[in-house]
Order: sequence, then structure tokens, then C-alpha cells
Amino acid sequence: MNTFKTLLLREWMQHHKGWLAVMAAPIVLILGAYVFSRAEVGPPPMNIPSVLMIASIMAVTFMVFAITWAVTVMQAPGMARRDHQDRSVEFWASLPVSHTASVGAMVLMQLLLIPLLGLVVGYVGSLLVGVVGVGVTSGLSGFGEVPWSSVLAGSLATMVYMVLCVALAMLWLSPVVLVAMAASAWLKRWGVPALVAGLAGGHVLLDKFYGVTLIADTMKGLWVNALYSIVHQGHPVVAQMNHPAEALSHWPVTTAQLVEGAGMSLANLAQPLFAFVLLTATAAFAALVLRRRLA
Amino acid sequence: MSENNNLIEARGMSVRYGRRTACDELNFTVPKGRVVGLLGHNGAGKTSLMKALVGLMPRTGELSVMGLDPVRQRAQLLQSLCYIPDVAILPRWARVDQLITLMSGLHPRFSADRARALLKRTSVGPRDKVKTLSKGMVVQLHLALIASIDARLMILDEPTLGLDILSRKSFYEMLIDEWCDGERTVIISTHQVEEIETLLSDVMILNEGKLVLDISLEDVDNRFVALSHDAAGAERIAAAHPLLRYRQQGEAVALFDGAPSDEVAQLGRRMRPKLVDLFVALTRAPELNRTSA
Repeated sequence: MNTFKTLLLREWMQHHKGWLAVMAAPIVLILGAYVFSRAEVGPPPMNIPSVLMIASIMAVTFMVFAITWAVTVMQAPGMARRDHQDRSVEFWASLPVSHTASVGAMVLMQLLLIPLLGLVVGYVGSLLVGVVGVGVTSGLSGFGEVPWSSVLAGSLATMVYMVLCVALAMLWLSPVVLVAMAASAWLKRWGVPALVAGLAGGHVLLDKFYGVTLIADTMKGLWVNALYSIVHQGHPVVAQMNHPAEALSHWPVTTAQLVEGAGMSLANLAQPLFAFVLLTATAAFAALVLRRRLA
Repeated sequence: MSENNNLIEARGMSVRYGRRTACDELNFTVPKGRVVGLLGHNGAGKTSLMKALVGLMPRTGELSVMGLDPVRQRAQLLQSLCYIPDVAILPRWARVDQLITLMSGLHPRFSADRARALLKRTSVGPRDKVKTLSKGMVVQLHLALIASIDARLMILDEPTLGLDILSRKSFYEMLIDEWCDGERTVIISTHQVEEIETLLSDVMILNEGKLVLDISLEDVDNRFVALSHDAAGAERIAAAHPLLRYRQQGEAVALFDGAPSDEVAQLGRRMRPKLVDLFVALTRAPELNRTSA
């Protein structure tokens, strides 16, 4: 276990500056806009301190998470070849560490832990942005209009729920990312283009000659289910995202609501498409390990 | 683990890249406590052999390193073996202290205190980034890290390539002073044959994938005979088909595998054969070894 933790530490040592910069940039920019440009935050009810605080929490958290997620997903194919490009793979391979553990640590960090960290950093940053926003727009008196205990308790509980949602969403998307990583590992810079061309070409051929849209349906299914893990019409907690002005009436979020929402996301795993997710992700991971072994 | 004194045992071992054979039916053993020089021209199979020993290359035939199969038991093997494949392969993004932290977590027999103590003898600082270090400093760093592993076998693949003479001397001193203790074995490949000869206890010479010599340096003196001679005896010396004829310190010298006849031996003065001359004799193309009448 110590070995795996050290491998995770390695990932952090190598990339933390870039990751933290990506997470901090939106927060810094918004704070700068508040402080230096004194921009308007929008029409009512956004100028109500409590609504502004909740909207800040939702928007900034989501923004930082989305940007972090996008960066890690785009970075992932390149990570598969990272050690090969500078030949340091020979150094790592000279240590008593299994190839599976090395690849596993990289995948876990890139696909799950860093997006989750983006969520947490986004949340912390959103509190700061919210406080600054309330202060700038409403002055000191605005702070008295925010039900802090309710806002903090509710947002923290939602964050815990979101950690599960994000993990499930990343699981749904893992075949897409892992196959792209494996393609990049084996075919280098041609990996992702070849994969995209193969999927697009396969879809066109199957559709044109056989009337089968399996590829498009599968891809759509993966993305829809990933999104479903986070945002769903019936999710009692997340429905409020569409109406921040009404969010206060839904807070503090109850444990029962959280459990119900989590149950819905987990129950969504019980479908044949999820078996495809597990099989494809496992095969792609094995391909990554094999490529590293042959390096 | 093997209970005999041999750390490495190979029998009929071959390494192939597709149809090309890098190592061809090698048979050898390496006991503990030896410093073995692995010599050969570029493409002779040295790196392939070393990679097979550390489980990074598949091979055919039998190969046992410290009683373990290098491929199937690679992670277990690497706990007792340290390997420098190429000194330029330390991760360039890392600082020295980060590498020490990572090695501490990844290698159960690595000593961070020992690494720091070894590095104090060098010009490498703990906060230095690998990418800012010169080639010689990277070598010193890599060796300090590897020498801090309490391993039984160290395999070094041309570790001094591209280094100036002072860096090479410093490297050998650290290797001999800090790591070789009579129980541990080192296998080192290098092109600087003359420089390393005094450090070695054994030598293995590869030529086009075949093991043409596997001998201790003590037995080199017993088996091979170098005769320095004057011009008068040159023709009769040549007729005795020496392995190699060359000049040393202005004198003509002939190298024989095995003692020449008394008649030939009387034509010259016996000298200690040099490893570099032995290497040239055994790895030159056959047509260059042909003696003229």
C-alpha cells in the first residue's frame, strides 16, 4: 500500500503545479473581476446576498470542476506516453514496482482524484468568491442577510453527495478515456486521431450499409449516463441548480434526500451498458499495462 | 533463493528481437562478491543481456537471477537488485529530495540517510532539479541513489558514457568504496576497457551475441600468453598463429590462447596480456585475424 501511495505522490509531485493553476485560475479571475472591475452581478434576484452566495457556490464549484475535468481528460492520452518520451520509464522500471501499480496510480489520479480535488478546490474557492461578491455588492450589511449555517451545511452536504456523483460519472466515461489513452500509448500521436476516425468511420459504415447505429448509441449512452450521475430531473438535491433563487427553500439538504439521490445514481449502474463499461475499461487498462511492460 | 554461491545462472539463454538474435545460447554463471566487466562492441548484445537479467526483456532458455525468474518474479527480484540502464533516464522534472522520497517509498531496501550522506560527497544539492544538473552530476546522483539500496547485485549499463575522466574516476571510487564489500556482485558494461581493468575480478566478452570469453582475471594470466619479440622472430611467431599481433611500447607483441610451444616461447619475453588486447583479439572480424606468411 505504501508503494501505491508513493506512486500517487509521484503523480502529484510531477503535475501539481499545473493542476493547481488550472483550478485556481477561474477563482482568481472572478475575484479580480469583483475587486477591480466592480462588475454587476446581474438582475434580481441575483443581487440578493443569500441568492448570490448560493449561486456563487454552485457556479464557481461547477466551473472549476468542469475546467479541471476537461483538462485532465484532454491530458490523459498524453500521460500514457509521458515516461516513454523522456525515457524515464527505464528508471521507473528498474524499481520493484509492478507495471499494473504504476499505470493504476496514474489512471486513478488523472481520472478520479484530480477531478474530485477540482470539485473540492472549486467549492472552497466558491465560498471565497461568494463572500467577496456579497461584500462588494451589498457591503457589510449583506453578510447579515445570508443564513450562513444553512448555506454552509447545505452546500457541504451537497458536496459530499457530489463526490459520489463525480466518481460515478468518471466511471461511466472511463472506457472513452482509457481507450484513448491506450490508443495513444500504442500508436503515439496518431492514437487519438485513429481512434476518432475509426469510431466515426465505423458508425458511418454500419449506419449506411446495415442501418445499425450501435457506435453512436453506445457513445451517447455513456455520456448520458455520466451526466445522469450528476444531474437528473428527479435528483432531489440537484434540481435546485436550475433555480438558485428557490434554492434556499430546499436547504438544509436532508440526509434522506442525499441518500435517495445517491441511490438513484447507483441504481442506474444496473444495466447492460455498464457491463460494457467495465469490460472495455478493463481491456484498455490491460493494454496500457502491456505497453508499459514492453517499453 | 539459490543456496549455492552463484547469483546468476544461465543455460542456453537467448534474446531475440524478431528474427534478429541479440544473445545467442549463452551459458555462464556469476558468483557473489565479484566485479564482472561485460565487454563487447556496439550491438554485441550487452544491453540485451542486462535487460534480460533484470526482467525487462523476454528470453528463451534458462535464466535464474538470485534464484528467481527475472520476468515472472521481476518485482521481487528488483528488491535485491539495482540497475542503472542509462544515466540519462532520471526523471528530469524531479528534484533530488523528491527522488529520495520516492525511492524511500518504492524500494524497501533503500536508505534515504545513506543517499543523503553519499550526495554530501558530491556537488549535487538536495533541492537541485535533475534537468539543471550536468551529465556527470546526474551520474553521481544516480549512483548515489542506487548505492543506497541494500542489494546483492548491481547491474550498470555503460554508466560512464559521455563523462570526462574526473567524473569517471569519481564514479569508480564511489562504486568500489561505498558498495563493493566482497559479498555483493557488480556487473558493469563499458567501452573504457583499460580504465576499468584494475577494478574487475572477472570479464565476459560478447561478440555478435555469442559469449566468446567468460573468465576471471586471474585465469587470464594463466590461459593467455603475450610474447614481446624482436623483428628476427616475427616470421616464426606469425607461423604459430597467435590470436593477435600488435605493438606495445615500441615492441612487437603476439597474443596466444594457451601456452605456445617452447620453441616459440623462446623467441620472445612473456608479458602480462592486457584486457583491451584480449578484447580486440576475440572480437575482431576473422579476416583481420588472418596472419600473413
